Amino acid sequence: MSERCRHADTVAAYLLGALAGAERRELEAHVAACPQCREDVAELRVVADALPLAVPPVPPPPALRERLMATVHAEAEVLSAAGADADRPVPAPARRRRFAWAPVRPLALAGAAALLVGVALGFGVGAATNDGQTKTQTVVQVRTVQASVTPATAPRGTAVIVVRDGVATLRVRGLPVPPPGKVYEVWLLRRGAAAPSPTDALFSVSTQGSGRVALPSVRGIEQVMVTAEPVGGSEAPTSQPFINATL
Amino acid sequence: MPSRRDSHRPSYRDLADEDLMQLVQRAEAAAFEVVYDRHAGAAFSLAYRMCGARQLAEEVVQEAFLSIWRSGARYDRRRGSVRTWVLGITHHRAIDALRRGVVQDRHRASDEGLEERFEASERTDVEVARREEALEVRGALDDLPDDQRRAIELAYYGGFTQSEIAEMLGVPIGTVKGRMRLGMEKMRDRLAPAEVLP
Repeated sequence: MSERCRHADTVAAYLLGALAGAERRELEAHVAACPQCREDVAELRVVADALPLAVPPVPPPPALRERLMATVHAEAEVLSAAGADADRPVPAPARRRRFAWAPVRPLALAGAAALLVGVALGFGVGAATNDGQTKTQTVVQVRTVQASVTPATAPRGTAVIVVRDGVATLRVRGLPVPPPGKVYEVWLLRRGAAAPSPTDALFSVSTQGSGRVALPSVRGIEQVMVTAEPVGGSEAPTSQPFINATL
Repeated sequence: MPSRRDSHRPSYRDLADEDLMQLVQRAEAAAFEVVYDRHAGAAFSLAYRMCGARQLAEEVVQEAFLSIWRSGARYDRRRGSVRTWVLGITHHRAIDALRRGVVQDRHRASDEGLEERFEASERTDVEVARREEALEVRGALDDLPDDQRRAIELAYYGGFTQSEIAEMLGVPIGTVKGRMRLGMEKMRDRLAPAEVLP
């Protein structure tokens, strides 16, 4: 019988997630070269995989699903809009575009129940043929920002801004239809500006509460807001914004 | 002759997880919704157990599922079930969150009472089998000698590193690793015949 590898115990710690970054990388490199430890990892992984099943069940809040799906549907829409491009097989690296947005970072927004996700992501829409020889891939650069929606106005409302190649769209769900004689108006707050500027992005929503509107260029814009305004829009907001997104 | 059913939307709920993941790779949101509905409960329970705070658990699960949505292509069925994969991603995200120091009072997280027990509205076969599986894993863990169980729980659910655990327990790192190893081996022997449900 072969002697136990001196890393045998570290394998357990590794599978439980108890190694810090450098230790973990070191062990991974070792496992790649040590058949005995590879076998150990395969055997003990069963236990690590079973451990999450032993916790007391707690149901996820429905609002979490709503926020997540608002982002997912908005991104899916952008991708299906990219269909014409996606059909064209091009080598992925050649399609990679420079992206002008700031690096990924969590965004802070005061008083919002919403979780915010600001990301610059490259979607790979790919298909590989059976022989594995040809690979079709299109990379679509998309950034999505979850906006906060004031619960008093729309308790189940969600709003997501999707930016694709500098073109931004606001997509909303679960909003009430604007009161008679009113329309929703989008405002943009430029970095360093004291007051938001009006836009011609005026919209309503379907009876199901969903709607979408294209936004003017959001370059240099810090915040996007939405208020209810008299039909035709206003030059200055006449009500408090009920949708807020920090870009 | 095409059946009338063809005029209906295909029901994603009839598909296996592995097939759904192929659709997720093609950015089909409806397929992703089914994957979420199947596994978000387990993912949230794990995140809540680890973080001990609802808000942070929500952030962890949201991050985990967004990364699944955006990188569905990385799922490899040869490495295990979708459920295992989802829970693995959730575990990593929770550990990242804990190590970023988001939770100040981490010692409480693993011991906090969880009063919000979830009663499944539907007692499907899968649900029943999952409960049995949970009981079995819990039983295997509870039957370990205390020092082994503690080391495993602090690592897996607490998100602590081996050095942190050694310091907390006042024993050398080698001892902590040995306890984890022994505990995991005992659990493996007991769980070996059982299969993780899809």
